[in-house]
Amino acid sequence: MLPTCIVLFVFVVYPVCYTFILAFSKYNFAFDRNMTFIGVQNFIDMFKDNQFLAALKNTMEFTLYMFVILVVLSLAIALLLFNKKEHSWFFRISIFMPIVVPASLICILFSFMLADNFGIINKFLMDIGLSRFTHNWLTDGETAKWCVIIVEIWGKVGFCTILFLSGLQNISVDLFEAAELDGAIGWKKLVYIIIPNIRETFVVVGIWAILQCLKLFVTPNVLTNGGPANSTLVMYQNIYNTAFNYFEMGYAAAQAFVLTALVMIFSILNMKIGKKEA
Amino acid sequence: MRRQSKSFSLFVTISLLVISLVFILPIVFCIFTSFKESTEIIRDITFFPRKWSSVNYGYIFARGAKYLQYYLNTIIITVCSVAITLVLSALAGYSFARLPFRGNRLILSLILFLLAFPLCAILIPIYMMEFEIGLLNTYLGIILPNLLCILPFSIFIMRGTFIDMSSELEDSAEIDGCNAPQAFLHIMLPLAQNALIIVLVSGFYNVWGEYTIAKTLASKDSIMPISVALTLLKSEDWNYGVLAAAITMSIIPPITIFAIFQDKLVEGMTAGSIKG
Amino acid sequence: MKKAFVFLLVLAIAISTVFAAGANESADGGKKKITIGAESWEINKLFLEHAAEEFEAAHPDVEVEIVTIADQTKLANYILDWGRGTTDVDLVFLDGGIFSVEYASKGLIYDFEKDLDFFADFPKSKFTPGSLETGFIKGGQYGLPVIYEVYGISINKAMFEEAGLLDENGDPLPIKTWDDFYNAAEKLTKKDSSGTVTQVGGTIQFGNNLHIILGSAIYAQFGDAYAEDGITYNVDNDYVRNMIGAWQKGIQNGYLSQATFVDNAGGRNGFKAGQIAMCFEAAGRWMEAVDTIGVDNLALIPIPGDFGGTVCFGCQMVIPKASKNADLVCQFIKEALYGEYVQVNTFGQYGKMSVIQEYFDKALDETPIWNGIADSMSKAQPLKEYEESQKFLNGLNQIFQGGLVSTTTTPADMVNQILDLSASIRK
Repeated sequence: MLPTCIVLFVFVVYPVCYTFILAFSKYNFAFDRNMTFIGVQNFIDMFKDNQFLAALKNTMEFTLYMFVILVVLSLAIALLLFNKKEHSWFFRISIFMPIVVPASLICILFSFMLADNFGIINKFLMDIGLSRFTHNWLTDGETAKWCVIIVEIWGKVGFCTILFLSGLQNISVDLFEAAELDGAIGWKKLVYIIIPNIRETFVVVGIWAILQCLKLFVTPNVLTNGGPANSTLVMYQNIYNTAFNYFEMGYAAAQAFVLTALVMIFSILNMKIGKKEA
Repeated sequence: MRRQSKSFSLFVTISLLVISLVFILPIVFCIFTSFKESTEIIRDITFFPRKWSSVNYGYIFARGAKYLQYYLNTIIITVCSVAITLVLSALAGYSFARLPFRGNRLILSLILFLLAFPLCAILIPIYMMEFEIGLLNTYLGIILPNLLCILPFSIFIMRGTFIDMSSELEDSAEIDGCNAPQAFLHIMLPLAQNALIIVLVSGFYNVWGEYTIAKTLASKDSIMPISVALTLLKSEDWNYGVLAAAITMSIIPPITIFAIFQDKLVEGMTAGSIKG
Repeated sequence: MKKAFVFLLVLAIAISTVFAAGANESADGGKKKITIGAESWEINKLFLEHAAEEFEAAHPDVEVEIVTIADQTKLANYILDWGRGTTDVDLVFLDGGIFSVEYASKGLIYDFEKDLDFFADFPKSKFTPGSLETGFIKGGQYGLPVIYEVYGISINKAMFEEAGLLDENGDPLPIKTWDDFYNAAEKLTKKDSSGTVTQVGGTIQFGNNLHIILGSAIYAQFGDAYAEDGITYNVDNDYVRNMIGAWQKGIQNGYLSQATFVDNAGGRNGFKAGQIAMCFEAAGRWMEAVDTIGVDNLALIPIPGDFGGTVCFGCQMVIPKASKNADLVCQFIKEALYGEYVQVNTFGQYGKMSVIQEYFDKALDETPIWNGIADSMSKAQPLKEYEESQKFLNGLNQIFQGGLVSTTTTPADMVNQILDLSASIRK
C-alpha cells in the first residue's frame, strides 16, 4: 500500500504545487513565455471582475437549491424503495439508470428536448392544448436556472438514493420492532428512529452533494453554456473558460483555490453539524 | 417484519411508478430517437418513431469498426481504476479509522483538499508531467488521474464505515488469535461490504463516462475510451439521431451489467442489514 | 462479495500487464509517414480520408495517417509539445484562426511563403479572391485555407411566399436595410390564438460567431469593418445603432429567435425544422436544410448594406516547425487537398467553398442557389483575428444577450459597451 500511496502522492503533489505557484503569477499560456510573480493581485482582481462575481453568486444559488432538493428527494425515494418489497427491481433500475448515462451527451439531448421551437416539451404542451404554457425554457434566464437544476437532479439523485438506501438497511430490524411496539408509526418513526440512525449516511451524502453542487460544470456548460447573459455561469465553468479559452493560467489557478476553499468550508461545516447531532 | 396497510402500500407503489417514469422517459425518448430519421426528429417531433430506421447506427458503424477497441479501453480503464480504488480505499479507510498514526489528521485534511480541488485547474500540469515521463497515451496515464478523482471520496466512505463498526468484534477476533491483518480481512471487510458496493458503484459511475481527463490525455485510438470516441461523431453540430444512437450505445453495457448483477447488489445490501 | 473482490484484484493485475503492450506503437520501417490532425467534421466534410488514399496511391512509399482531434483544448496542448520541439502531427486543421494567432506569435509554425516557398510552383492567382488573406496572420502566410465560408442569410421561400415577400418571378423581394429585415421578420412571424409564437421570422447567430455577424454587417455597409485605427470595429455610427435597434425590437416582439443565446445550433436547427424563416449565419446553412425543407424552398440573400459585401473566414492548415516532413506535407496539400475531388465535393455537398478559382467556378455552376449572393461573395474579405478574440466574443455575447432583451438599455448604450470592451482587450 505504501509505495502506491507514494506514487499517487507525487502524482498529486506536483500539479497542485505548480498550480499554487501559478495562482500568484500572471501567466498567459499562449502569449507569455514565462510566468511573472504578481503576489495576491489575482485575488484582488477577482473581486472586481463581474464574470467572477456572477459565477460566485450563481454557484451559491445553485448549491442552496440543489443541495436541499437532492437530499430531501433522495431520502424520500429511498424511504419509498425501502417500503416496497415486491417488484422493486424495476423501480431500482429505472431510478439508478441516469447514473450510467454519460452526462455530457445526455445534456445535449435535454437541450434538444427543451428547445424553443422544435423541442418535444413545447410540442407536447401545444398538442394537449396548453400552448399558453409553452415557454422559451432555456433562453429565459430564470427558467434556464431551473432547467439546469432539474437536469442535474435527474442525473444525481440515483446515487444519493443508493447511499440512503444502504444506510436504511443498516438500521437493525429489532429497533423497528421495538419502536412499533412502543407505538411509533408514520412520521414519528421517521423522526425518532430513522433519521438519528442514519446520521453517518447524512454526512456522506452531504459531502457528496456539496461536491456535486459546488463543482457543477457539465450541465450548465452543455445546456446553456453559462448563458443567457451569464445567468447560469458557475465557478467551475468560469475557471475552465479562463484556463482553456483565455489561457490565463494564473488567474484560473487563483479562482480554483477560492473554489477549493469554499468546498472545504462547506464540507467541514457539514461534518461538524453531523457530529453535533450525535 | 413490519406489516403495512393496503393503502400505504398502494401509495408507495404509485409514487414510485411516477418517479420511475420521470427518470426513465428521457432515456426511452433517447432510444426511440436513435431509430428515427432526421426529418422525423427535427420537423415532425414525434415521441414514438413512425418509421423505424437504422440510419444512425449505420452512420456510426460506417466510421470504422474500432468500437470494440474503444469499449475494451473503457472497460480496462474502468475495471482497473475501480479495483485499485476498492483495495486502497478499504486499506486507507481502515487505517484512518482504526490504526491511529502520526499525521493522521494532516493526511486526512489533505485528502479533503484533493476532494475539493477542481480538476480542470490541474489538467495542464498533469499533461505536462505525463508528457515528461512518457505516460501520455497509456492506460496508466489515464487511470492515475481517474484514481485521483474517485479515491478521496471512497476513502471517506470507508473511514466512516469502519468508525461506525463496533470494536468489540475486532477485539474478540484478536482474543481468538487473529492478528490485525487477519481481523481486517476476515471480520471487518465482510462487514463493510455495503460500503464497498457504494465505492464500487460511485467509482464505476465516475470513470465510465469520464470525459475531461480522457480527451486531454488520450489521443490515440488504441487508448481512447468510448466516452471520447463517441463525441468524435459530432460533426459541426450534433445530428440528434446520431447523438441518441451514441448515448444508447454507451449505456447498453453498463445497464446490462446492472441488470445481471442487480440481484447480487440488492442481496449485498440486505445482507449487510441483518448483521448491522 | 469477497470472491468478487479477489476476482477484481486478479483482473487488475492481469490487465496491468497490458499497459506496456498498449503503449507500444509499431513503427513501419522504410515508409515515409505524415500525420494529419483534424476535427471529425473536417475529416468528414473535407474528404480527408479520400485525399489520403489518393495521395498514397500516387506515392506508394508514403503513408498518410489521420488522427481526430477531440476538441479545441487539444490544440492548447500542441503549444506545449511544439514548444519542446516534438510533435505527433505534421499538419493541423484549425477551425477559425484563433489558435493560429497564438502559434504564430510564439513562432511555432511555418510561414508558407517565406519558410516553405509554397507559391513557387503554385501561384497565388489560382486562389479565389479573399481566400488566401484568411490565412494571413501576424504579417505572414502562417495559415493556408483549405476551404472558406462567407456570411449570408438563408431563407425559407415557402414562408416568404405565404407572407407575400416574393416578386412575380418567385424571387425574394430585396432586403436592403435592417428596417426591411425587421419588417420582413414581422410579416414572417405567426402566432396562435393564445399569442404563442408558432413560426419565427428570423434568427441571428448571437452565440459562437457573434463577432463575425457584427463585423460582416458593418463591412456590408461601409466596405470596411474597422474604424480609423484600422483594428477597432466601426460601431460608433448611426448605421450600427439602427441595426442593433432593429434586432432589439425584433427580439422583444418575438419576431427574432433567442435560441442562439444558449445553443449555437439552436437557430439553424429551428430553420432546418421549418420553424424559422430567415437564418443569418454562415451562408452554407441552407444546405443542411435540404432534407427537411427541400431545395426548391431555399434561397440565399446578401447581408443588408450599401456596399453589399460579406465577410469570409477559412478553415486553416498549419505546419508545426517541429515537423520533419514539411515539404512532403506541402506536396500533399497541392496534390490532394487542392485537387479537384476535395475542392469540388466539399463545395457541392457541404457548402464549404473552394479556395481554388477553377473548382469554385465549376461547383458554382452546379448549385445555382449560391448565385443569390454571388455579388457579395466577389467582394468578400476576412476580418482581422484578435489575440484575445475569445474574450472579445464572450464580452459581445454578454452585451447582446443582456441588452437585446432589456427594455432599459438603448442601442447607444450597447455601442458604448462594445467600445469599452474593445478598448480592454489585446488585439
